[in-house]
Amino acid sequence: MTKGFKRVRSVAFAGLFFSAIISAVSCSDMYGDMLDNAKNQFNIIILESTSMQTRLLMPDSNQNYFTNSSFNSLYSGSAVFGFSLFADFNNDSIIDILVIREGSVPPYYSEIWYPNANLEYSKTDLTLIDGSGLSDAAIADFDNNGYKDIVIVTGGGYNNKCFLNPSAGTGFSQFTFGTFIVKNSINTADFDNDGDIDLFIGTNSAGMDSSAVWLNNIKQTGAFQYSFPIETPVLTDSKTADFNNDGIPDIVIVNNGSYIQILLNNGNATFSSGWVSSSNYNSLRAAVGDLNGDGSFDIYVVNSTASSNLILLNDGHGNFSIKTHIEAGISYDASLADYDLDGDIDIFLAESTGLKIFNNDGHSNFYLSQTISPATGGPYNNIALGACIK
Amino acid sequence: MKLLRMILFLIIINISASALAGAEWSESTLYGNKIQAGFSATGLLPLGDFSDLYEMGIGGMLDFSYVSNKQQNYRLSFRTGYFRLIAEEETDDGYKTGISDGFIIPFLLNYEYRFSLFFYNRVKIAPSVSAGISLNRAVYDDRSGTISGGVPTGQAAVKDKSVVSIEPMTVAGINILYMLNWTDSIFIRSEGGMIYESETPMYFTLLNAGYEKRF
Repeated sequence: MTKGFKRVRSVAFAGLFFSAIISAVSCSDMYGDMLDNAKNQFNIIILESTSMQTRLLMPDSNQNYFTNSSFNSLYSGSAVFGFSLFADFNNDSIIDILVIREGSVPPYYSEIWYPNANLEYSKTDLTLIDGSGLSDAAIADFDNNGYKDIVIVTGGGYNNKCFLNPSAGTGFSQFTFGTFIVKNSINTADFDNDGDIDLFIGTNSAGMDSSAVWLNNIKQTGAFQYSFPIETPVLTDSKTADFNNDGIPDIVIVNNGSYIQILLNNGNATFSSGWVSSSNYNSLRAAVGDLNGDGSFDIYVVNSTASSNLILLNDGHGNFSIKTHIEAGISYDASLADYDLDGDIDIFLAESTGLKIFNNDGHSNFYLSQTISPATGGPYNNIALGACIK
Repeated sequence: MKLLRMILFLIIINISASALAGAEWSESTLYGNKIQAGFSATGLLPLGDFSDLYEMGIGGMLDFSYVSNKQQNYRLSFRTGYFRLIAEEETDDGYKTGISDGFIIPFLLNYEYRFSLFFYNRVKIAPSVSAGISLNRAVYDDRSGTISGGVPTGQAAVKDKSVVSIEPMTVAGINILYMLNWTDSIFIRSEGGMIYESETPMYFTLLNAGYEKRF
């Protein structure tokens, strides 16, 4: 073997060795991440609840929504529907449906509907959950055991209740945490940054019935603790999101005949007044989403008259510019998600004339793309969104 | 292990080739011409998972070789180039990938052995193996933050997210050359290769057609 050949071979092996070393230290997986992302194909699915009907709407291959007939929660006049929500209660990575009735009259109880891999649903009765006086409901892992729990808030003097999920969506236990006379709305977030999910319950009353933060004290006392009351006498809805991008959840409240207001979280579940609209509005509901794709949460406000819904665009610091969504009719509720899967957030409106999807052109201009026949027996109690893998 | 097996296979081919065809072919008066440069137009065809992301790549390669006095059949080369990757707009299932065009710039060390064949030894066949790194740029819509726990978060996808990475790259194949004269050749090179990622290796084939000159 010649010296030249040995030299060439040595250099070649050095190159291979160099490559192997780089391989060993390489920790990026750019194309793998892209592949996962490209296959990260979701359909947005919709739950629509009125007192007399609750429907599951799923899109076909052309993103046109139709009713999933396997989800057929039955109406009973004395156990009317309250709220329907999506969550994965048994951690099987397929989204389940919770239906809460305002009254439980055997055999009509609140229900969890579990799907199979083809999204064909079958129900399990939740005999424990009495939805009497139901005002609003939310789902989160309140006891940090890895399973989704349920909280319902009530009016009419009924107790608010939290149902803890021990595992796999069976055998819920419950505790109560206060009583409200008035109707109210509920939001969940870790307001005091302690790792537990807290509540903000918005009401239009005063005293112990006022809007307030309820801190999660489940580990210490087994309940939520009333904290930081805020009097909001004409509140109609509230939503939580990090509006000023400081990493801490804030609150927006909308009112009937008053301002739209941002409450900025000081980091310890106390709040300072942030941006306030310069005009009064007759608002019904609010929805939160990044409507212009700038990474900050914007707000969509449903007002009580036609062509008066509002798009509030966030400047990234929690200050908003307002434009009117004149294409909207008389709306009851709004939900925001990427319905057409083009990467930007669209608007779903429950209107008096039907359910409408307005697609985003990418610059927070919206155009009507689809109208879905409404359920019978409105008005709408709630619209909930989930996602399922395509 | 696939990478190591492929490299080992090509090393065995090269060493076997040197044993079988030891005859040097170059004109001795050219021994002073130690540098050889070549360029080629190159097509890149993604395979497997890579083909879910990109339809094809087009670009070119530059080769700079050193020719040792007494080892005229061997080439040790530095190869670089540029490939524009043309994105797949939809997956096989008809869904939008959210991917835009990207590029690859390879930096490779190449080692090859040239067999002399017919037409008065004007035709050469050269098994080769290259290893090094590639500078990659990808642009895509990042949907990862839009869904949490099966429920929309309200966050829009991050549009046209640009990512640049440096990854190990290995290429191996066969180079077929035709000598126009003692210093100039045209060639076609067919290769298979891989950009090595820890979880998802990306495989591809390369087809080069070019010209080289010895100085």
